Amino acid sequence: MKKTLLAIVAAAILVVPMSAPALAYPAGQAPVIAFSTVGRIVPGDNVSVQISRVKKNCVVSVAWAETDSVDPVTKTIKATGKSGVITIATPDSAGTYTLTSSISGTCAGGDPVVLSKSVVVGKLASIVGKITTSSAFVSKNPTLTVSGTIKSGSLAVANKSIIIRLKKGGEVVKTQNSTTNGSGAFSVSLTGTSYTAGLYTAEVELPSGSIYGQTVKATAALNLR
Amino acid sequence: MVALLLFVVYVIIRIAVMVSSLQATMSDVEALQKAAEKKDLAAISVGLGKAADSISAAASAAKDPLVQLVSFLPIIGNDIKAASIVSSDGRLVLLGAQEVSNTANQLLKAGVGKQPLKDTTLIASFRDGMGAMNDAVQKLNTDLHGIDATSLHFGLDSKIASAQTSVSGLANASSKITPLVQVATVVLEQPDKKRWFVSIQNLSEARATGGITGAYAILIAENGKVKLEEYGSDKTLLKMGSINYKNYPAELRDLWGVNLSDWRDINASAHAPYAAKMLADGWQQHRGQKIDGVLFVGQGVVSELSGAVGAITVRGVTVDPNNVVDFLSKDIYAKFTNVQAKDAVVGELAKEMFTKLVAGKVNAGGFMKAAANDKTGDRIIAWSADSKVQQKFTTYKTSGEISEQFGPNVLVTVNNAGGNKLDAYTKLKINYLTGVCNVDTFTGYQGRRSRVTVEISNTAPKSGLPAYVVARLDDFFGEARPKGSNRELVTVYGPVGSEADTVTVNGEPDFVSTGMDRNRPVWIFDISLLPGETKTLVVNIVEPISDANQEKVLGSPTVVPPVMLNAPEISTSSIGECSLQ
Repeated sequence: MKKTLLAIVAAAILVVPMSAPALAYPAGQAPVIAFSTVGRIVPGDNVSVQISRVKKNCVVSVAWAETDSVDPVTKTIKATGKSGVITIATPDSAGTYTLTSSISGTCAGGDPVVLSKSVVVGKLASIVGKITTSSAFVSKNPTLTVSGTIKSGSLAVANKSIIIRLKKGGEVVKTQNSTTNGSGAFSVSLTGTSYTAGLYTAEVELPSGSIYGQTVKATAALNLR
Repeated sequence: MVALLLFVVYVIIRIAVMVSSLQATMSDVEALQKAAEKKDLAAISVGLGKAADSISAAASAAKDPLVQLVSFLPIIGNDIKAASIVSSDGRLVLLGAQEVSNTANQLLKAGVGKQPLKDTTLIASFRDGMGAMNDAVQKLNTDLHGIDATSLHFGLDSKIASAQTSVSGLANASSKITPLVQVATVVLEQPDKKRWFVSIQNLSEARATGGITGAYAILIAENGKVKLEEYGSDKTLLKMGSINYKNYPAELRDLWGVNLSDWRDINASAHAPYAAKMLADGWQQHRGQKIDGVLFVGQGVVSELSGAVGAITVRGVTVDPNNVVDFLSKDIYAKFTNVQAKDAVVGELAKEMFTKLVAGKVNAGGFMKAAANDKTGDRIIAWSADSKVQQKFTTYKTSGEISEQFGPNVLVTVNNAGGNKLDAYTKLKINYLTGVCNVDTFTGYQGRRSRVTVEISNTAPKSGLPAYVVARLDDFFGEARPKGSNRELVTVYGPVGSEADTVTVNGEPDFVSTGMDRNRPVWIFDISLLPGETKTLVVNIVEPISDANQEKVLGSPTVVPPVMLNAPEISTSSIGECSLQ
């Protein structure tokens, strides 16, 4: 049953570009999914949402598009056009997820509508990085060093795996994995590469994980002569 | 002993110089007022020079370190401080006024608005002078209101209290007029032919930039001269057909549930350039003409322009600065129940007003008086397709751009979701409190807890309003909606990087639509209000005190006031600065 619902939702998402919401003057006519739990969502916590401006007695269902680890929740629309509180658990690992609900044309009062909202579960981190070189001249065969700090608020993102990519003209020149230290700091020397003159950018990526809900990237630039 | 005596004598002399100079300034200002009544521009310039000289002597004496020392004495210390503020701030105001008066004289002699503009530097210096004078007036107003008039002596108490009232009016007028002058001078100084779309918004049906476009005017400006090319009501725009909104940010298209192809629905976002580009695109698509810029004005700005052009009579109705706001927001619906006739009146009024304006038939005194009396929350917003011109509008804070920078600032907007004209009766109070520190945001920053409180009231009467005003065009879902009831989408724009912890309506947890607009989280309350009802909307947020570089966010809490017919009451409060950990 769950798989079937998810298949319906997934199919509905795919048809988003072909179905226009029931938008009309004045503002706020279309069905809408609204949140009571708006932010600061810990993985596994419940979120409370409400679907409104849908015809009464219609049955609506909300589900996470990216995972079937959480059962969809179904409600019947009241005479007020509202579903009342729908409580659904968030996935138990951090990440960015899409809460969706598809409304038929009959229930939406126009074209079919797929409601979807992106929800970040877990915390985000920020990366501050820089790129330095032992020499500004390629003829000196310089060593490039990418260093910086990753924090989430006041807390260091300690002992986490990161990926460093050195790019030139959008092309990846070198990729190296590393790990932040106990203070969230990292420093990686990129050796074994012969550089040509031009602008290099270093991209530092912290993949999403159990705590940090979204992959974050930071770039820094360096011009070699 | 002799040294002490010399000190006392010196200070007394300096204070006497300050007092006598201030008295001379007051005499000069009285003469100035008479010159202004006679519209004698030459006498005004001379009078401003005299007053500036007098007050400069007072300011010099007030800045004397020994006089400053006396300001710490009990009893007379406050008097010295008050005189010092008046002389130093007042000097800047008078010097600014002198500069503006001189450049205005030169502009008039050069036939600005009538003759081709030979030199744009004069118009730019007039604009800069207005900006500087406005800054000086606002500072004088703020500083004057920091003085407790009741603690003063020697008759200063009544004079300062009187000055507080008159300067407050001057500050209001200056804050209204300066943006209009800044925008108008930018329009005038463009060397090439430019087509400007003036969206005359009806603030009785709220939108994030002010109101629904009720009428429009097309102005052609070229080398200092302006002509009215076309005018019309929203019906003319609707008849043109829908707007292709492919250039509108995709992530915002569904946020407020508006039909972006509808000319009435293009300004739901607070970021005015989005709406301006839509109007320009729509005109280009249907008329094949490029729009170089868009100006948004509402009933408040129209009342100020009405002061400049004087009374206008259309179809037996005379509007002037005293009645134009009420007429265009309320009375017109009772007097012209036929919608076509009502639209025609609006269009004809716009035509008359802009015809007089572009012909240069303006009265500066009437303009100033109308601006001082404008109690609406309206203000001009301007957009230009030319990025350099747009940068000027941004500098003058007239662009209606929503900042994408970190900082403790929030916005609140109202979009009418009832399809009615009841926002003539909508009142708003907004408070932004920045609270406790040492709380990390889930968005990755060091942060603090803050709160945005919006009190929204529907003050419409339960009966007696025309059907057109109290319409409810939104779909019915069985809720109670007697005549005078309204539905509003109230949007709170949080600081960049902030997140909502909880949202409540009248103290109870509630549901909000969410999204991002200009890098800011937005929370949209869908609120129904019975006539006479007030609801309190609260967003408890955690906002960053560090930015993307993990450095401290600077600035005091501010609220960008929504453009509304009834000026919203804005307040901010803070428990103090937070330090990074």
